[in-house]
This record gives sequence, structure tokens and C-alpha cells, in this order.
Amino acid sequence: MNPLSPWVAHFFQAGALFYLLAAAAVFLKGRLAALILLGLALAANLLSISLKLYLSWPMQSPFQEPFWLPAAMAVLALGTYKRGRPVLAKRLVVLTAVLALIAALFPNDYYLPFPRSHTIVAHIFLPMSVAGKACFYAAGAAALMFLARREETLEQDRARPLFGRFIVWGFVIFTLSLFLAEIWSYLGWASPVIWNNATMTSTMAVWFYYGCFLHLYLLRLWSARRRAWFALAGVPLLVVFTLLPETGGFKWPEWLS
Amino acid sequence: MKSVRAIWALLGSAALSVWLLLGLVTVLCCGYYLFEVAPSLYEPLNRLLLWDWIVSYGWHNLSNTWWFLLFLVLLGLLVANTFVCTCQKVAALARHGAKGSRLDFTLRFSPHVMHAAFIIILASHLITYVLGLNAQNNLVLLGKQSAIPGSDIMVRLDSIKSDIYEGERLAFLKGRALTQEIALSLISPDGAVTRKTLAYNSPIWHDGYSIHLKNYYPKAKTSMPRRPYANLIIRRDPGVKTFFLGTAVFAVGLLAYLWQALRLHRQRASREALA
Repeated sequence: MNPLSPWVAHFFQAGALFYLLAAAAVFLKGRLAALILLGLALAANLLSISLKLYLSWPMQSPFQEPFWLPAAMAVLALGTYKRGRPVLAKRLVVLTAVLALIAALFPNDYYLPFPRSHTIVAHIFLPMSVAGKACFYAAGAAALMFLARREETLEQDRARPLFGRFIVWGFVIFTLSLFLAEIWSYLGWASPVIWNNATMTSTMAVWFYYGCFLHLYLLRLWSARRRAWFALAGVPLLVVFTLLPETGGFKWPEWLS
Repeated sequence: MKSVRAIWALLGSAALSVWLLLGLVTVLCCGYYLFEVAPSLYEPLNRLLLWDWIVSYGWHNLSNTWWFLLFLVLLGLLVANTFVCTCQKVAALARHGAKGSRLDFTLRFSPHVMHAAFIIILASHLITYVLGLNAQNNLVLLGKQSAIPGSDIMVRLDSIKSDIYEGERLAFLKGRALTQEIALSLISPDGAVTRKTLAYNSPIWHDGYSIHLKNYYPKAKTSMPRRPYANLIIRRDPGVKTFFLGTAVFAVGLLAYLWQALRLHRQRASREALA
């Protein structure tokens, strides 16, 4: 084993701790502290991801999404804060902390990078898939705020609530990532669709779910409030069918046990 | 005639799309757990044609596979719904003509481009699963040749070259192959020889067939003394070109839709700023 390998976990665990502290700072209304802690958390998270990539390149290890997801969520939180939506940014920080804790405390077994991941398509697919799902999670947080009537009512939100726009972005990115996955699957396994594990069904379920939301959103078939409930209900679907299959049993960090 | 119109109207209804999509989500969620219970029932889908799978596995294990059959039915209904809905909407758009700019009018077709592409993708899948050839394990020993299933073309394994990793960074890979070059000769019935090289993620195409590398030997510097071989997946996939064409069209429609959504959003924001 490369002596740098344990640092992948150490950096991620440090990141998760900073995400947790950033969420605590949000509750204690320490805006600057929350921003600094979120920045530190993101830096540690990115360091862990980069080191893992360095130790796998030109291949890729499976089950990496839970470690990439908090980073994508943190970027979204910083983006929404910069665009004048501090309340939503706070909710996203809390959600990021929860996702990071799940990844840190329920890591999957250690899998070596596999030869068929030695393709640029695989390396583009992973961040795109994560970015799409991060938008769906953010839509859930925005929908919750809408339902609690705490949406930051910027002018443009009145006509089209923010959660809908998050889902549009998420759907576009997620769909493109699936197309990349199909290309990779065809090149590596001779078919764009492989029935080797249940991921195929859960991925299709998520795609159809948000495809259904887009129909409701574009055609205004349901009221905004019902659509918000729909966007919110997407979060447990994502957790159960895309996050949990990539995690393992509970495990304390090695330096604690 | 009246009932045909009623069916046409029902099939084109947007509410039907929503319920079909929700039905698909429900069925796929059930399928997720049922798949986990018996993955071996579904693995043959990777090598059998759809009808053969239904007859051999699906029909005899309905307590587990019902979701897959229901999934196919719902998918069929969704295709019919998408087709009718797209026809109705495109006809209406064409009837009303361009009201705004030409670009706005063109971009308004983007959801229908996606719908058409969705139908192309599913139809291509069906063609692949009904008419294709999928030979999963075709072992060729070094220097020997073997026939491509369903044809008179022979494939000969000429050489196996591996790029052995000698660095320290990827400790698990030291002394093992990082990349490979499998040299094949494809010999036509008239004796013409075409030489091509194969690798993981780098299949070769020849005379309507695609050949993919499934496995090979040796993969390490110090391997047990065995005869070198390549295990090939040989496919004749009549739907794959249209599948990827549909995928590309869908991606264009998706990006066009995003562009339109962003333009409308910006226009609305600037109108509100002026007001």
C-alpha cells in the first residue's frame, strides 16, 4: 500500500469535521466563522479527492461519489451565498455536513481502482453525476424553504421558484453524465446497458423521477406547492437509491477507535 | 372515429405522461430490491436476446421478475404517449407559427427533439435486444484462430503486449499491466487479412461486428506459465448506431432547452428590473 493512502481518509474526516463545525456556526449565527469553516472543509475535502485521484490515476476507484458529493454541495452553498441567498446557503451547509458525516462514518469497503476505469469518459462521468445529484439535493433544500414560506423572494423566484431551476440544471447534468456512462459501458462491456447490479434500476428511477418533475414544472400541471413537495420527496429517493448503496457499515475513524 | 379520437387525445395527455413516469419510478424502486434478492436472474440479460430471456427466466420466475415485465409494458405505453404528445404539440407549434424571434421559435422545439430522441433510443434498444448477436466468451489462443459466430470471418490472435507498471505510486499495480495491445487478424472468406489492435475500452469494428476485450492472459510480469489467450465479446448490434445517434440528438435537445430556459429567465429578470 502506498504510505500516502491513509491520508485520503484523514483529509476527508478533517473535512467532515469542518463541515460539522460550519453547520454549528450557522446555527450560532456566526456568518464569518461559518464561511471560513466551510472554506477549510472544502479545501480538506478537495485535498482528499485529489490525493485519491493521484493514487488511482489513470484509473478510478469505485464508490467515490459519497466523498465528492459534499464538495459539490459546498460549492453550491458558496455559490448561492455569493448570489445573495444566505438563508438557502445556510440550509445547504447543514445538508452538506449531514452528507459528509454519512460518508465519513459509513465508508464502503476499500476497492482497488479497476482497469476498465482507465478512460477519460469515466473521469468526466463521476464529477458530472455528482454535480447533477448535488443540484437535486439543493432543490430539496430550496423546496423545504419554499414550503416553510422562507424562500428568499428575489424577484425572479416569484415566477419560477428556485427549486425548479435547480432541478432543470440537475437534470441536464445528470442526463449528460448518464450518456457518458453509456458510452463507457459500451466501450468497456460491449453494451450501453449492463445488468450486473441493481444500480441500473435505481439510476433509471431517479432519472424518471426528475423527468416527471420537469413535466410538472414546464406544463404547470400541479401548483408550485405540490411541486415543492415533489422536489422534497426526491431527497429520500436519492439517499436510499443512490447514496446508501455506495456506503458501508458504521465505522469509527481509525484514529478514534 | 370518435373513439379513435378519444384514444388519441388520451394517449397525448400530459397527465398520462406524469402517471406513467411515476409508475415507472415505483416499478423500478421495487425492481431495485427484487434485483438485489436474485441478481443471477438478470445477469443473462447481458448475453440473451430479450425474448429468450423472457421465455427462459422471466416467465418462470414471475414472483421476482414481474417488475421487469411491467417495466417493459409501462415503457411501451410511455413511448406511445411521447409519440402522440409530440405529434400534437409539434403540429400546434407549426400551426401557430413564429410569434417571437426565429431563435425563440426554433428553441421551442427542443423538448420535442428530446422526445423524438427518447423514442429513437428505446427503439434502438429494442432492435438490439431482439435482432442482435451477443457472443460473450470467445476464447482465442495465441497464434490460433477461431470463427466469428454467425459468419465465415476468422479471428486470429497475433500478439499480446502489455505495458507493465513499474512505479511506486500505484503500489497495487506494480509488475502488472496498466494498458494492453491485443493484435488480431481478421480473415475474410476470400483470404483478405485485416490487422487491428484491441484493448479495454477500445473495441474494434469489422464488417458489422464489434469485438471487445473481456479478459486476457498474461496480465503480469511474473505469471503462472499458461498459454496466452484473449477472451473476446463479439457483438453484431444493429441498434447501437441509432442508439448513440438518439443519445446525441437528446443531448442537443437538452442543451437547447437549457439555453432557452436561461434566455427566458434573463429576459424576465431584465423586464422586472426595468419595472
